[in-house]
Amino acid sequence: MKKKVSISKIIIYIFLLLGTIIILFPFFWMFLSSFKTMEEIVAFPPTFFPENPTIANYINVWSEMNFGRYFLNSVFVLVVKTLIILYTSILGGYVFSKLHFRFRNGIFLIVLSTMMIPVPVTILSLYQEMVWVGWIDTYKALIITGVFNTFGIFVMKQFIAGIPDSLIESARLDGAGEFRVLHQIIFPLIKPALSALAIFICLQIWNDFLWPFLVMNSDSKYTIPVGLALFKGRFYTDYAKQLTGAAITILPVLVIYLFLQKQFVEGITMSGMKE
Amino acid sequence: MKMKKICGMLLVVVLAAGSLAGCGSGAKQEEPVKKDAAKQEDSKEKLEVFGDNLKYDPNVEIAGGEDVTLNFWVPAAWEEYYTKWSSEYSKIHPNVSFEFTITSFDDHWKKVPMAIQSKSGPDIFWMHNSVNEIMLPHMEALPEDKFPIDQVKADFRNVEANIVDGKLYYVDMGLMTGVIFYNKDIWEEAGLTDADIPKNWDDFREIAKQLTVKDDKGNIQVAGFNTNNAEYIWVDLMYQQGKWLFGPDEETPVFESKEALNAAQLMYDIYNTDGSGSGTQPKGEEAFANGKAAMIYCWGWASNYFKSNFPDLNYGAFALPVFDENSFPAYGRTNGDVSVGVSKYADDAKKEAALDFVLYQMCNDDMIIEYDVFDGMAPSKYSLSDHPSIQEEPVLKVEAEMLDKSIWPGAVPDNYFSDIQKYIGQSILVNKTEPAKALEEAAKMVPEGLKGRNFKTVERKAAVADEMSDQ
Repeated sequence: MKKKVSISKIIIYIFLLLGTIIILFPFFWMFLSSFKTMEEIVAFPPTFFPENPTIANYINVWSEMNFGRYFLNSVFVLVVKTLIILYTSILGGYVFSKLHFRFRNGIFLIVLSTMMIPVPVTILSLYQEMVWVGWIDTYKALIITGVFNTFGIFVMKQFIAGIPDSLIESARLDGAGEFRVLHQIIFPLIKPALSALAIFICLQIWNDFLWPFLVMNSDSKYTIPVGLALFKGRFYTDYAKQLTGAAITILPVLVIYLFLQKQFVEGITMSGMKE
Repeated sequence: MKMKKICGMLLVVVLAAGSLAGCGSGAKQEEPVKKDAAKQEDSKEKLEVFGDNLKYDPNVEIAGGEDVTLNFWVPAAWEEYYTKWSSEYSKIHPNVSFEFTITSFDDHWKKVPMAIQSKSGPDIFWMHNSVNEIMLPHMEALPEDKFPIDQVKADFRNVEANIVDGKLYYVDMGLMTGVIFYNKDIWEEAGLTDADIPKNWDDFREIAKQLTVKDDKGNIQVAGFNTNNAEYIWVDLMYQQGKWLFGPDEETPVFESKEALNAAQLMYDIYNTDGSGSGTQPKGEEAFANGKAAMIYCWGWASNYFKSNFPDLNYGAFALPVFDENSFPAYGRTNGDVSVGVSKYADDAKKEAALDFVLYQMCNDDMIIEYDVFDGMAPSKYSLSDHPSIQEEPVLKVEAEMLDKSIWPGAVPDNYFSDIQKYIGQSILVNKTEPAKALEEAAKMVPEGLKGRNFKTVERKAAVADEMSDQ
């Protein structure tokens, strides 16, 4: 029996398809342009598919710049910082949602209000602090300065608040301490939310440019966004290399997304358990 | 279970990356040829003193022979150049080595001021006159005993204009200006020869019309002229008519004059009346590279853009036409790239070495020429204008010819020029606004962008100042 497809569904799919094309077009453009010569990239009228595809840009990016090194540095900072942020977010979320103490809500509001302060306002004083503690040009300046993430704490608080108190109470009655409750009861229940948060945090860290650029002085410690910026010339940009670098750069993010996609969707849609 | 796997994989990546990170070599350090050179010290012959009026004596010991490492911050484009020349310098002074930090050009001026103010910045750095306002307070002026001002003036152009509060912090390594690039193939196809190169705007307009190719619907296929993305040509047109850009207070931009209207009208006429250009074409250099523009107005840097990316492009260059070739004070505006800056926070030994490197840069003709050819500029040093490397580059040759009739307005904030582009250039060329109306808008908006900026133009210090009609 033939399944009837409604007109409204067709219209919705057309809109979704259009939206997908609009969103993906720049990525395809970037990817295809990474196989074009500079001459073809600025050609007028422009070409979509490379007329004479070349992998020279990839060879140039890897050979002319320390790109492999930048890549490893980015992965290192990404992994270490993400893990630490996730853990501190769980800790913060648990404390603000399940522990009861005086001024809890007030303190949480103060923590939340830090999200309202624009980064450029704090960057000068933070930089000066890095100078005082001697962390300029060290990974400590990149990692430790951002280990508490207000957004992460907020998200975790919201998810953990949805976990029934009775579950935690019964664990406590069985003699579990707060850390045991956190690690053995809370942690397994918030994995989807954690995956969603991990993706947001990863994106933030992977694309972070200004802070790494300011605090790192050694070429061997630069991350990918800092390395990519080096392709930008004074009067004109080497689009071929910059697009190639960008194409390489988004690959890990895609992999992370595909890897965590299922849990990410669950995390976004999860409404939380109710008592 | 899955989560465990993920964590395990992440841990492996962390360890692998961590171990690699541990192997980092730190900032790029030039390996000085210290030991070998030190051994040769005794047997070393006296090196030749070089320079024109200002001299560099390589035999003078620096920092009492103590080991000095200079932190040198340069944008990526200049890495190779300064790595090479610092290495050459270290051959003369083996006790001086350099440690490089490479920055991106766009963000060089975010990093350097922040670092230098917190005293964690470079000892020596790539400098530009556009950041005088933020950098000069942190820079060491060139001391008179090492850089006698009369000798500096005898060697370099523009020195007087570069003096701020009685102090000189740098000199121009080279000066860049706007020229007309023309596509030789299109030129020949139109039956034109070198004898047709226009000297005035009337002739230029006729040639632009002749070079313009349109389709049946009247759409431009090849523009006779394109100045898109360089619409600040209006500034040159003002200087050509003897008119200053700023009033006598040296900070208020001026738009209400017949010369201002003439300049804007010329732009309007070439594009809109003659139909020789189109505001909807790509940037001048890109249209030119693709054979979509026969002539463009562009600054000298474009010669390297074409050389690097479009080696087959057959082009020439000529000086900017003027309103009256028999009487004009200047071709237009120029701007310089300056010698490196020295931090006033560097310790005495480093400061001595850094200033010595500046002197080395100013006296070393090969170093200056390489800089200028790389950047597409004509040398500011008088003796180098006829240098073969400059004369064999068509664009640099033309720039060198124009230099003595060009004006540097000083460290005018960049937004002055971008606002001129927007409110005069693009308004006229893209939106086809009447010139008088565009100038009215510019008179309202450009001063807004300059509010709170601490600058004074030095245009009235130009060598051609006496020839300007606007006294």
